[in-house]
This record gives sequence, structure tokens and C-alpha cells, in this order.
Amino acid sequence: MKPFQIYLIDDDEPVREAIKLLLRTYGMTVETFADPATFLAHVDPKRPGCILADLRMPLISGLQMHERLLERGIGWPTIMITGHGDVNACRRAFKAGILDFLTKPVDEQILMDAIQSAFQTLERVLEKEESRELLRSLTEREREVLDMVCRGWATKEIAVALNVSARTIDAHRANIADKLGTSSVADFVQLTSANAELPIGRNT
Amino acid sequence: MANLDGHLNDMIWRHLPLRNLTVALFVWLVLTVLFAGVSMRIEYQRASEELAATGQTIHRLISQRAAQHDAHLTSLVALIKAAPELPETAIGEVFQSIIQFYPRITAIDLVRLPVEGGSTAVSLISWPNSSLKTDLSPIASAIAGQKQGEVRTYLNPAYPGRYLLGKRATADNPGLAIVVQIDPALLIEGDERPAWAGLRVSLAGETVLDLKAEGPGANDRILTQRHFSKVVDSQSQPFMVDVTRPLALSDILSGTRIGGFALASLAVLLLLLFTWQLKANARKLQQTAEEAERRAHLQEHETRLAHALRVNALGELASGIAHELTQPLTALLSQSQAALRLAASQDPDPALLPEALSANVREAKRAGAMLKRMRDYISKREQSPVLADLNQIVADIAELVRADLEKRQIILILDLATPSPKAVVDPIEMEQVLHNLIRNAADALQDVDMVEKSIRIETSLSESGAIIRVSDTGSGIEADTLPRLFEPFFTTKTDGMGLGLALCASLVERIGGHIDGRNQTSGGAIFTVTLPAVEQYLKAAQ
Repeated sequence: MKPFQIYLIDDDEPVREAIKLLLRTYGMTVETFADPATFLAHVDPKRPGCILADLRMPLISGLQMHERLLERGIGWPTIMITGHGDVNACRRAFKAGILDFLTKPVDEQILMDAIQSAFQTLERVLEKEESRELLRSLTEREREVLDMVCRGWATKEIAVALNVSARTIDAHRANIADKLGTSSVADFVQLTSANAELPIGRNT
Repeated sequence: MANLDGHLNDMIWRHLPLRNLTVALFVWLVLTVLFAGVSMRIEYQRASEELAATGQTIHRLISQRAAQHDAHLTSLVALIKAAPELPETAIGEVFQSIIQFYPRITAIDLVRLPVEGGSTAVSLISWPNSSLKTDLSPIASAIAGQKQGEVRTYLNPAYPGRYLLGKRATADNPGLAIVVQIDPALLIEGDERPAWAGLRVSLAGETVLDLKAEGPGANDRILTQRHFSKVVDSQSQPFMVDVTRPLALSDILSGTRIGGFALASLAVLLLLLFTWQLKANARKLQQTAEEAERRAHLQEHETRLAHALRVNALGELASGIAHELTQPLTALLSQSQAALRLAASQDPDPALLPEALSANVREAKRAGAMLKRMRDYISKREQSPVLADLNQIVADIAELVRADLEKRQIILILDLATPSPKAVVDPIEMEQVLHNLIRNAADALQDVDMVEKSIRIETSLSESGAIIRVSDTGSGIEADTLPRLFEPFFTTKTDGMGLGLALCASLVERIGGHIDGRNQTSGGAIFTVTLPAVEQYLKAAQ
């Protein structure tokens, strides 16, 4: 698994340092922030990571921070840790798309499991972001042809539907395969459907 | 019990106000004077009526007796006329019997009147037959001049204490006349005239009889004199009868009666006043008792509330402490687990392990300090006011509420004066007051949708005393709520009891302080707690 960055946001310094030390013993790279505002100011979309944040912090709560990240197109998995494991806060967190909700003091094993799960999610998210980038490289006509291919249409059928020659469609398919790096229809289907499911991307 | 009675007595006399007593005395005086007036008026009336009645009686008696005299004379004259020769012996016997029956007739004479020009009357028959016969000469000529049948009264200095009645005999014996001497003092017998009545009988201005009034009051100063005057309806003796009644004060003003009334009315009035006062006192006592009961009830209520509030605050505190304690516990857990991993590691960073352990020590101490604060807060120790550092109190309470405020995303700003203002307070109570104010401020910020939610606590020292201000950036206090802020059981919160601020006020006022709440011009509410500054306290203590 790729070693991802961990962003730890907690207003309590000893807590921050303790968790950072623990994660470091697992060989993880941890970057700590004392408050959400600082993190929001420093976050780099090109350096994806898993977010570990206290739910309750002055001024901007963990949930608000999460929403602001989404607004900026950053959909990295977020784990909330809180001193109060109340049901309402937990429900609101999951509704907002929080990956996991842990209560303090958090046990090493539970934390590591959540982080592992977050890494996997992040990997998928990044893949989807990648596939979206690939799909975005297609022209409009190529996208049209790809959709028809995914629906299981034959080249001739597509040519008739688009009122072009079959040879033109073949040329499009060659270009598509070239751009997406695969000529497998199964891959195409996975790519497009994954893209449709993406939690983010509506703002592209 | 005796003590209680003494107390009651004391109460009564203390509460029987001079004013009431004065009014009662005045009423009594007026009543007595009125009674005396009415009594005098009645007595006067009665005396006048009695006088009139007595006067009438005396007048009637004198009239009757005058008529008797006339009748005697008529019958005596008839006696002379009847016999051709004068029956001297028989006449004498008649005279004798008349005098015997009528003591007021002191003498009867049969007189031979003098012939023309003479002035000597010769008494032919006379009774009483004493040697001291009355010389009738002074009136002899006057009788001689009388008409036949006429009876005339003679008042002559020659007959002191007597009046004489003369009547001439009929034409058969023209030289004869009957003269009757009457003692006017016997016209009215002793018991016919009351002692109080003065009686004067006169004829043509000449006094025939003058009897002075006597009896009780006669020696007193005479206030007034009532008169009864009537002329006796008699040809022969037309006396003027004057009955007088001198009235002294004592006659119409009965000292014993007035005194009796005065005493009785005074007694009744005092009794009334006393009864009324007793009732008023009883009422007052009852009111006092009710007031005391009410106050005791209120105090008990307040004590219960204070406890409830403390418990309530404790609940919040416990939740805050729980949150606060999770922080060091989280750090301890993660750090310890990290330390374990480091210890088990093949190639540990030598600096990391001690660092983790000392961090653990710090965190354990932090948790301990929190617990101590909580213990201090909830401990039931009765703390009397002490000279306290207000900044310290503010800092302590800030530490207690910080977690809760953070949870609510409220910034707590402390603006503390240097040097710290000092005041004589019970720090725990002061913390309660501040805790209430902060909680209210936090509640006010709860529903407000704004970027910066903050509560500011400020200490300062001014001329009016040491001041703690708690302000928030909420929407402020509604205008109609403002005047009722400190009213018990008044609340705008759906689940509030309406006691927080009332209790704050009572706690602050108990130590001579003052609390007020209003809206800031910049928005939000501000509560100002003014406490007597320590200098003022010291000055007052001296």
C-alpha cells in the first residue's frame, strides 16, 4: 500500500503529539495542525492524505472543516475523533460523509484499523479521480462513442446511430483505447460507472 | 411562659401609641363635657319645673288661707249682727276656738270704733285674753272709714311680724268692727315650703314675709335664680307671692354623677382602646408570624435552589470535566502504546521513549489537576467571605467552563485589570454567579448564527467598587424582559426555572454588592457585578 500522508487536526497539543508519536512508530508521515483554519490554509490538493480530526474545536468544527474541503474538491477520507460519543454527533458525521467516528481515548488497534480503511478508501478515491482525468481527456464525440460501446453496441450500430462510417467509429475507438490505456470493454464499463459514482467531481 | 407574658405586655405598651391614647383622652373629655352640659341642662329644667310647681302650690295655699280669713271675718261679723245684745261669752268662745284651730291667727278683737274725729279704739272682746292687748288705735280711723262688707289688710309698723285684717260690723252695729291679727310666717307651714325655696310675700311693695332659701348649695356661689311670681286672687289680701330658687353649680351639676360618668366612660374608652389595641397587636403579631414564616419558606426555598443550581451546574461541570479528562487520557493511551511499540522495536530512536514517558507524566498530572479543581468546586465546605482576588476567581471559572464553551464554539475572552481588583467575597459563590452569567451568555449565543461567538469577562476597579463584567455577542435582551431579569421564576428559556439570575442577585447583594443587566450599544447583553472594593470594606469595618 502506498504510504499516504496523515493530517492530524486537534486543538489539544499533548493529544496531537501523542497520536503523532504513535502513528510515527507505524512509520506513517503525520502532519499536525492546531486548528482547522490553519489546515485549510495549508492543505495542498496535490498531496492527498487521510484526515484525522477532532470533532469539536473552537470556531470551526471538524464537520465544518470537512464541508469546506468538499467545496474545494478535496474528498479525502476523514476520521472524526471526539471526547463525546453522542449519537446525534455521530449521525450528523456519517450523514456528512465522514468515513469513521472514534471516541477518545482511542485504542491503537481501532485507530490503525480506521486508518487502514481510510487508506484503502483514499486509494479508490484517487483511482476514480484518475479515471475521471482520463475520461476528461476524451473529445465529445469519443465520449459519445464510449458510452455506446459500454451499452454493448456494435461498431456498425454506432455508425448508423451517429450517421458516420464504421471506419470512423473504429478510428474513434482506437483513439479511446489509446487515451484510456485499455481496449477492454469491461475496463471501459468499470471506468465510466466508477466515474458516475464519484462522490466528488460534480464541480468539474 | 412568664417571659412570653412579659414580652406580650411589653408589646402592648410599646404598641399602645401615645397618639391613640391622646385621641381616646380627647374623646373622653368631649364626652364628659357633653354629658355635663346635657346633665346641667336637664337639672336646670327640672329645677325650674319644680319651682313652678312649688310656686303654684304655695300660691294656692296662700290663696286658700286668704279666702279662709275672709270667711272667718264674714262669719264673725255675722255673729255680732245676729244677737241683739252682744253675747260676749259666746263670742269669746268662738274667738278662742278659731285661734285654737288656726295658729296663724294670733289674735281676734271685737272693737268699738271711735266716733267722729276720735282715734281710740276700744277692744270690747279680745282673745287671747292677755294683759298685753294690742292697741288698735293706729288703724281705728282707717277701719272706721271702711265700706260695709269690705275686708282690708293693714300693715302697720305698730304690729311687727303681723298683718291685720279689719272688717266693720253690719249696719245693725255700725260702731263695731272685727280685727284679726295674722302671723304671715304661719301662712305657709314648715313642710309646705321646700328648703330650697325662698318665699317672699308682699303687699304693694311692702314685705309681709321673707323666708330665705336654705339647704344644700345655699352657701355656694349662686349661678342663677329662678323666680315664680303670682298675685293672690283675693280682694282683701292681694299678696304678691314670690317664690325663688337660687341655683348653685352644685345644684345642677352633680359632682358624683359627672365623676361617675367620667370614670365609667374613661374605663369603657380605655377598655375599648385596649381591646382594639390587643386586636391590632394580635393582627400585627400574626402578620409578623406570617411574614417570618413566608421568609423562612423563601429562605428554605432559596437554599434548596442554591443546592439545585449547584447540582445542575455540577452536572454540566461533570460533562465538561469528562470531556476535559478524555484529552489527557487520549494522550496517555496513545503515548503509552507508542512507548510500548518503541520499547519492542529493534531500532528505536533513543530520544523518543523518555520523551513519550515524560509526556505521560505531564498528562497524568494534568488529569490530576482537573480532578482537584472539580473536587474543590463541589466540596461542601462552608466558606465565609474572604478577601479574594477577582482575577483569580475569573480565571478559575474560565478554566471550568472553557471545555463547554469550546464545545459550543464560543470564544472566551478575558480582559483582566492589573493589579487584580480585590473584594471580600465567598469565592465559590462568586464562581456560581459567574458560572450562571456565562451559561446565560452561552445560551444566548446558542441560537445566534454568526461567525464570531464570544463571551468577554472583564475585571476593573472603579470608584463604585470592584467590577466584573460578563458580556456576549448575542442578540441581547428583549425590552420587555429587561425589567424582570432578576425576578425569581421568570424565564425565557423553555427548560429554565427562572432562578439563575435571581440567585445571582441574592448572592451578590448578600455581600453588599449589586448586579445589573442591560444591552450593549454594539449588541449583546452585558451584566455588571459591582462589589464593594476592599478599601471601602476596610473603611466600613473600622
